[in-house]
Amino acid sequence: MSRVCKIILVCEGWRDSAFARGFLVAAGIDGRSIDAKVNPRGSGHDWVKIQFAEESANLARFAEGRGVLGLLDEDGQGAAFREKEVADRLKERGLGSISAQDGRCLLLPTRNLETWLYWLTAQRAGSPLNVDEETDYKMAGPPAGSPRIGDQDCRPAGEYLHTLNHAQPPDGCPGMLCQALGRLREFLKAVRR
Amino acid sequence: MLTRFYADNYRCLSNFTLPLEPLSVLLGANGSGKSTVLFLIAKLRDFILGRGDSLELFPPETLTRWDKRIEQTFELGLRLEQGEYIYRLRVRHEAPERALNKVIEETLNLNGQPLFAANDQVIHLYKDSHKEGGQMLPDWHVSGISRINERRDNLKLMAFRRAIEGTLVLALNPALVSAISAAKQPVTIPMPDCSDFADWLKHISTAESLATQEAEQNLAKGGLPGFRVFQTDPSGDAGILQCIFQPRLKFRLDELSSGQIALVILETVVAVAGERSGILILDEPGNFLGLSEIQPLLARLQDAALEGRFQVLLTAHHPIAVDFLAAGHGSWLEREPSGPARVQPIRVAESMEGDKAGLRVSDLIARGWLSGLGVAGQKAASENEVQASTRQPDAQPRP
Repeated sequence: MSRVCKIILVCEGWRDSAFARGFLVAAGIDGRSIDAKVNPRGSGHDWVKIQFAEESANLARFAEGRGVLGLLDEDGQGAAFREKEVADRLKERGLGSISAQDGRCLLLPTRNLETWLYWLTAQRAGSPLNVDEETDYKMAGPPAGSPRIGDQDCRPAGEYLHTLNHAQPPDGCPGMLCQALGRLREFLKAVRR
Repeated sequence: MLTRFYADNYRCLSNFTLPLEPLSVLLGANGSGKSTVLFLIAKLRDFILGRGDSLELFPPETLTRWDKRIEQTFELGLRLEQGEYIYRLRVRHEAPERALNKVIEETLNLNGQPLFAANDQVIHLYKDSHKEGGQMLPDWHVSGISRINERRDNLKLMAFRRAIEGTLVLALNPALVSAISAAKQPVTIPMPDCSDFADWLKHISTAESLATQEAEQNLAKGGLPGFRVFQTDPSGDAGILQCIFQPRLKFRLDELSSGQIALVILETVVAVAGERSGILILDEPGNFLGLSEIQPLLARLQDAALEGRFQVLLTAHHPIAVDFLAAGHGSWLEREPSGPARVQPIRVAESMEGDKAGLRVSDLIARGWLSGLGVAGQKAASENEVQASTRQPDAQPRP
């Protein structure tokens, strides 16, 4: 029996895809059913927006019970602005809105994925850390009291995210990560249909 | 992890330096030197471990055809927890017409300090403290490092040798893979074509049993649905490697399809490389695999490499592999006809972003538009906004 791809990840970099795959596999999704499309340059909002719309179109044509999961750093532009940019792309192509319930899930790490990685890694280690969603930890370095995270921390952070209660996340959980937890829950329901 | 590979006057490799990362992907046209690099690493491994001598591993036919010099030079950089090792080997072909050569230099340094130094007259041994630890007479054709026994004061040298021993270099050819294991001695390193896979699996089933179990589990939940375990059935003095499927179906390894054999071998080497924290070198791993199996394999290799579980060096022609890995981890090899191989990292230009995003890297390669050296390549770079970097290959002549 041949492998069937159920989820397409659209990510700015390998770290995002490792993080998202860590979460999905911890949630019981077969890792072999996940394909990652990673921007060749390692960053690039436009690339993610274009590919998210492209894969959403493919989803509409080919796939019941399959999904597209995109990660797009907010990078100080405002999460609502970023989301609207992607929504406009979908609208241009006559596709529905961003909707985790329909398998089109967009996560918006704010300020960027590193914010989530630092918070989750510290939480997982049992030494909670305060992070804010304005500081660019990728450029500024780790929050006070935290070692610098590396590539090897992305997947465990995603796995740990799955252990959190989406309805009652721990104190200090970054706002957009709380939102992401809710969206991922809906997304998992959609792709398990 | 291997950090650097250097070869001079070996086939198409002339004063050729290749920096290596946790994940490195070699791309280039047929005959550009990709496989030559991979197989030369295997030869250096075999030489260092005493699995072959200079006469058989570096025969005169391996001298660069257009080069009149009679010396070949090879270097490997290796980073371990002990520090940065540099291994250097020079082979002199005194009488190429009689296939005679000899090792004129073999050295191993750690962080710039000597651990081993040999010329064609004497071998100087060093302790872990880098103080002289005696002398030996060299064998002109055999690695001196391979002849040294482990002692309490040469653990750094032994760490190097073990890391080299943990290097797997494979260019699969399922048609040659035999289910029969008949080797009298344990096969600790498989042949590059894995024709002796059954013998090797027999060895690692006892020496690295956890890796074998992991391979079996991954095969069962991956590309070989219904697969359960490997089993070697005795047959006279030999054994026959069987793959046991549910419900109690048994197939000899060589009864599986080419793609299935490739999957069996790849899952096994990935598990073994993980167990060893070793170095995995694969020539065209996507060959023989069904399209749907390629991305999961590459994703696992990429994860393993970037998370530091083991190092991966591979060549690729397959579009899925090229598009998935090239821009972040690719190096482009290129040759003029009858000229030396040159290498440059593949870099996607800034203007590749957004609505200007153009052809995929695999399309550029397929059309011959990705090139860092030729005129056509430069034109293509400007038109298609994907280019190899302009870094020049190592042009300094080596001593």
